[in-house]
Amino acid sequence: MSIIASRGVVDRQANFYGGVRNLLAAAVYAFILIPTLIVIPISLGGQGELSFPPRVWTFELYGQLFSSTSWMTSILQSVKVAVITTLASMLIGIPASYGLVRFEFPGKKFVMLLLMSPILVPVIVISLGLYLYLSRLQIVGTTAGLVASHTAYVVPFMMMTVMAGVKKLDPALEFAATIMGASRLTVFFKVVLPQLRPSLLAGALFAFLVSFDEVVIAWFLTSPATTTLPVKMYSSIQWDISPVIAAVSALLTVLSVVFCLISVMFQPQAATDSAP
Amino acid sequence: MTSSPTNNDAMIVFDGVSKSYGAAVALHETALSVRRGEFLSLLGPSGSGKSTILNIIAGAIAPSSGRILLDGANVSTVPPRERQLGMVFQNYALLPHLNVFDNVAFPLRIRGASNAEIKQKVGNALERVGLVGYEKRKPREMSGGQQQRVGIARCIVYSPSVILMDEPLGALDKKLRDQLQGEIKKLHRDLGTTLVYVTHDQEEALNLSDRVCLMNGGRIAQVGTPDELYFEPIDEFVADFVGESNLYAGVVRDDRQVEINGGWMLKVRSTEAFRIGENVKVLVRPEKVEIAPPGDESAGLPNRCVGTVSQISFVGGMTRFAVELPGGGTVLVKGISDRAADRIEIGVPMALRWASENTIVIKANRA
Repeated sequence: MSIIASRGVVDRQANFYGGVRNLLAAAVYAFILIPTLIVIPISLGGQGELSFPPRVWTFELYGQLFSSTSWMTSILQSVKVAVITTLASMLIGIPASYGLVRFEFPGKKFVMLLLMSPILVPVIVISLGLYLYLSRLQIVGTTAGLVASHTAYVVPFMMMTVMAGVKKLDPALEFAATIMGASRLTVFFKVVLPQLRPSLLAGALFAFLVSFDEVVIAWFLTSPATTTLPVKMYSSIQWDISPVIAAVSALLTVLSVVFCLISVMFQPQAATDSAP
Repeated sequence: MTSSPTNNDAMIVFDGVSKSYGAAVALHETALSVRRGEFLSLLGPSGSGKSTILNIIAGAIAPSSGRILLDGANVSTVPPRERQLGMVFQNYALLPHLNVFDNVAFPLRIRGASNAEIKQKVGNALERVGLVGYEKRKPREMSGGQQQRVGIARCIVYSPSVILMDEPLGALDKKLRDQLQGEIKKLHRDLGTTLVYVTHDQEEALNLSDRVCLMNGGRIAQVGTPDELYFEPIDEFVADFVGESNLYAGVVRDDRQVEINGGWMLKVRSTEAFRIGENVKVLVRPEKVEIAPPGDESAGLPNRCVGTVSQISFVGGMTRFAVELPGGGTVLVKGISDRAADRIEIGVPMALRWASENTIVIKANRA
C-alpha cells in the first residue's frame, strides 16, 4: 500500500522503498532461477564430473548425448508420447471446454470438479491407480498405455487454459453466425476456434511440456523399451550419475524457455483481439 | 387472448406469446403483428420486454406459451439458423479474425455461394453502406460507426426477409447516431425489407419507424404510428415516455370539460371514452401552449392561465419555459427560440393559452 500511495510523490522515502522492493524481487527471482540456469554452464563442462564453475568449456557432453542410442531413444520416445498426448488432449479438451462454458446441464458442477481432480489428487496416487488399472488391462509398459494415462493427466491443464479463452469470447458472435444460417459445427470451426488460437497454442505448449517433463506416472508405467527422457534421467542420477544429464537438463530448460517465449509472444495479440 | 389475424400482409405474428422465468414474467401474453415491409420499433425502458420480443423472433429465447408465425409459417420450434433472418447487434458482433470482405462474405459462404456471386454481392453491400475500399481492414482497425456499417452490410448481403436490429446505434455518439439513422431509414426504403428495431431512444423510434410498439413492464403499452403515439397516447405512461408533456390529474365533468384538482376547468377535445366523474389525466404538449399577448381575449384558445416564469432552458432552436401557477402546478411551454424572448426573465409573469383541440384526456395510470 505505502508503495502505491507514495508513487505520485517523488521523495527519498519512496525511492528507498522502491529500491528495497526491487532488490527483494531480484533476490527472489535469482533464488528461483539459479538452480534452473546453473545446469547450462555445467553442461558445457567436460566429461567425468558435474561441477560448477566448469574447469573447461566444451560441447563434449552434447556430443556424447547425441551419439548415445539409449539417450536418443528415450528422447524420441518422450517426443512421441508428448506429441500424441498433446493431440489427444486437444481433441478431447477443446470441445469439452467449449461445452462446459457455453451450455448448462444437470451435474455440470460435478463434472467440473471431476475434471480438476487430477490436479488435486497427488500424482503418486494417480500413478499407483493407473498402474493397477492398466495392469489389469495388460497395457503397462506400452506406449499406448502411457499416452492414455498422460492424456487423462494433461486434459485438465489443457481445459483450464481453453476454458479461460472461451469465457472471454462474446457469445453474440456465435449467435450472429447462427442466425446467418451457420450450423453448430460451422460456428465451432469458423467462429470459435479461430478466436481461440492464442489459448489453443498456450494450451498445446503447456500440455506438451507437462507430458514431456512428467516423471512419476511414466516411472510406474514404462518398461525398458518405452522409457521416456525424465525416467531415463532419474534412473541415470540414481545409478550411474552420468554428466550427460547436465546436457539433457540444459536442453530441457532451453525448450521450456522457448515455449514460454512463444506463448508470451502470442498473448498480447490475444489482448488486442478481444479489445472493443 | 384473441389471436391476431393471419393474413398475407403479416410478416411476423405473435399469437398469445409469453415468456417467464419461474415466477418472473419477462413478457405477458402478447399479440402483435408486423406487416410485410414495415419498419417497427420496439421502444421502452430497460426490462420492459422489448429485447425479449426480439429474442423470441430471433429464436434465441423459446417462448413459454403461444405461437410465432413468420411469413405465415409457425416457427415456434424452428431453430434460429433456419428462420432466414438477419440481425444487427449493438456491439457489432463482427468476427475479429476476418477482414471486412470476409466478414460480409461469411453468410454467403455458409450458403455455398460461388466466388463470383460472393464478390458481386459483397461489393454491392459495401457500396450501399459506403465502405468501398475498406475490404482489407480488420474490424479492430475501424471506428464504431464503420464497424456497424459492416454489421449492416453483412446483414443485407444475403437479403433476409426480416432484419432485426438490437439497439444498433446504442454504442455510438449522438452525431454519428443521427447520420446512421438516416442511412438505415434510406436502406429500409430501398430494400423494402421488414425491419424490427429495438431502441430505448424515443427520438430514434419516432424518426425511423412506420409504427412504434411501446413496451412497459413486459406488456405492450401502445402500438401505433409515431404521430398516434405522440398526439393520441393511450395512457399516462405513453404520454410521459414519448415526448415532453404537461400532465394534470382531473375529473371528467361533461363531454367537453375536465376539472383539474383545484377547481380549474379545462376545455378538452373530447371525453368520449370516459364516464362523467371518472378520474383522468389531461395532456397538453408544451409546444402547443402559446404565450398570450397582453389584452388577448380570442375565443379560439379557451384554456388560459397566468403564472410566473420559474425556469428558462434554451436548447438551440427551441426555448422551454416552466411557468409556476399561483394555485400550484407547473406548465411547460416550448416555442421556437426568438430574440424577443430575451426580455423574458425568471420571475416575470406570463399569460398562457392553448386550444381545447390540443387538450387531450387520457387514462390515469392508477385510478
